[in-house]
Amino acid sequence: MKKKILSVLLTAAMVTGILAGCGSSAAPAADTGAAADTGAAEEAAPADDAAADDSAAADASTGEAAAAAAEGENSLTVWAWDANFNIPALKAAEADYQKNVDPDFTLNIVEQSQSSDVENAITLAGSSGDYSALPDIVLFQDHYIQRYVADYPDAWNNLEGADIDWSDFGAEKLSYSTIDGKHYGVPVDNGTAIMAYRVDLLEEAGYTLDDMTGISWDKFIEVGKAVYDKTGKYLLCMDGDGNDLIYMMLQAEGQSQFQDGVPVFVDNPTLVEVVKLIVQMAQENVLYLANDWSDYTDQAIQGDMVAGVMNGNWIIPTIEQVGDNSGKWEITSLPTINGGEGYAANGGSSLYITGNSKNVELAQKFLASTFGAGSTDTYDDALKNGGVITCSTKASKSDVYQEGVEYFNNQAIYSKIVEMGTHVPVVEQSDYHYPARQVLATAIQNAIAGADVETEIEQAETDLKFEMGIQ
Amino acid sequence: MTENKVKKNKSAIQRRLIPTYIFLVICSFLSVFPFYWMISAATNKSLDVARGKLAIGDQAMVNLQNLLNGYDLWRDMGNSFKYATTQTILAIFICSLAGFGFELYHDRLKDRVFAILLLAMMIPQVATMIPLFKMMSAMGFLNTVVGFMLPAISTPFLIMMFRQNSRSFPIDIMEAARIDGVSEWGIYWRMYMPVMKATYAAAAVITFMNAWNSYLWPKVVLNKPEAQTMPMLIANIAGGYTVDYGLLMMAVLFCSVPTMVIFFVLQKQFAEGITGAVK
Repeated sequence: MKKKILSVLLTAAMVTGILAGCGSSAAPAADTGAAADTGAAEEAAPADDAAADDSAAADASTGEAAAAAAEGENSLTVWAWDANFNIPALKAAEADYQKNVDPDFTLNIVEQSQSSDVENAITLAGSSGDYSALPDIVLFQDHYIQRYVADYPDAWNNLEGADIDWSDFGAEKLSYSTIDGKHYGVPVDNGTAIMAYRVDLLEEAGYTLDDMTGISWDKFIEVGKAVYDKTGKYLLCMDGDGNDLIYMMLQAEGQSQFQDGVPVFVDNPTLVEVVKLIVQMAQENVLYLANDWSDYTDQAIQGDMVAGVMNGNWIIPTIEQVGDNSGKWEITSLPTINGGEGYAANGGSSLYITGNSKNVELAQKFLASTFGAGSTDTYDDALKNGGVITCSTKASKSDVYQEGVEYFNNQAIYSKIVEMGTHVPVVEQSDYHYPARQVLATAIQNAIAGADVETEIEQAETDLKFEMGIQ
Repeated sequence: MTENKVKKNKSAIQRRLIPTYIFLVICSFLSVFPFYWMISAATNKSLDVARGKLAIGDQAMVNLQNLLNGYDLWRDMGNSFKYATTQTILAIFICSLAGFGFELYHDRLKDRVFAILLLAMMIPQVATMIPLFKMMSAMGFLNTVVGFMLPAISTPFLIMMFRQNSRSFPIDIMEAARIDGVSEWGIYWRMYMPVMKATYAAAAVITFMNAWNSYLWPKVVLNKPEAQTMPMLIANIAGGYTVDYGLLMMAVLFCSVPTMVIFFVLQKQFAEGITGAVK
């Protein structure tokens, strides 16, 4: 009898454990993100599920525990990731503020391993109702911010009242961080997509960069086949698991996968066309679809398998790893379905003031006089030390931005990227950006293997709607 | 004739062992190869690692230099060492005391208490994360070393291990000691601890490795640069748009050396401790 009770208890405990385990997928368990933050496909799903207890938010302010935020009058704490990218940019801003505003100012930068660390910390703070461990400012991925502001409104402070000239930034970038007409974030980097080509290989196949600018995808495929025949290299590559091509190609057409918050796949002729193009390119050796993120960066790009790369401009340092190819690359805008230059953006992040900041005024002032002001001191050093490209038009006028880059055949790629960024059309964003990418990537893989494209797209739409809880 | 038979038998046995050996060779390869790759990657340029070069290269010093210049390796090694050692000492002391008590003293309720402890073992860590975080926040331990260590110094697994192994602790020793007038604490310190050496060693290895490798919990409660540990350093190097694999593997190498040393030094005791042998 005793044994029976014990076994029942054990089973009950395990079942609760499993259930709780499912619910808390929001807890910082998913930490296996791919190398780049855009690659972190694991949706660190905010706890809109079982684990989140809404009641907890009520006693949000009771967290009087050791606060990480604001140790002194002149110091701010910020969480950010990537020691080679965002962190040099923040150091540049700190130096800028010390030089031009307050020499006693210190910025305490706490390095995170990846963007999902910050997302998980907000989720944890939000679901436990204790925001006291959060810093003054966090760097946050653009694609996720809307969902996190909606789920945990207490975790944030908006930027109303900050002295920032918003018209200096690209409208598309600001569309992520503006929620209900209020600005929440100050842009750091620029996610503008580039189409980079190995000009030497294009020449071998009889084409120039000018031939490739403003072309249609059909023409692109024609060139791609020629390049593959001549050189054995693919004209385009992408991580087949987290396939960002669909989003970028659609944005270049001014379209989104979503309409009024609902995924529209089958009834969106542009999306169907884009998927068909991707499938065709993969089948005709124009596009190399890597198995995963590291296969994409390590084998395809660094392994010298490709003659073209299309992605957010943060992919540039990966391309530059191959020293032997210096001077052989150049960049241009994206192809479009009917020809004409296409512009898109992928990835990127902004700085947000948290609800835990004890010194909101200082945090606003710091952001407004560095990143928000398009300050040349900040952005020039951010570019030189971290390769972070601004999306402030004002900052892009500096000499540093006009310099040619040796690796890219002395092309002034930085000012070009900022310029391209101003043309990126604003398209509807969704909290389900990454799930949408996932289901469509699966549809594409199946279609390449021979399944019917339209059936697969329909299936993808059904799957996503199921995930979103839409009938 | 008999000699022949023996020979035949021997070769038959040897032949029968061939598949076993093939299996063992495959297994050893599977466990040793990642190790080798780690070492070879630490001596190569990132690009070569990405392209799958396996031979030992000549970039070890460059990678080491970059690691030392770009990151505070010694601070993080020091932190990891400090936390792991403290945690190990506290955990084996507290858990062994519990295991000692549970097995060698008698009380009507102890089995029920123990059953509850075992139940706690079944609940996955992620499920307790948010309640634990709230507890730490209520106690004011967020962003402190205490908050990081407190949940780990007493684990049901270690208590169970000590209790199981205490079964082989000879009761006669206890009784003899009592007759000689040794206090109960004295029994624990002077009889129990020396006899259970092997269990302590095994528990120390397990706790040290767990503490050394722990990532999620310290990441949540101890998020400040001064307190950064090796797993966090490695995660920071591994995240990012461009990963320097040579440098990363050099850091991993540093991170794995202490656990390796501890394991090899205590290997014999570890095996004995796990099986519960008492000398």
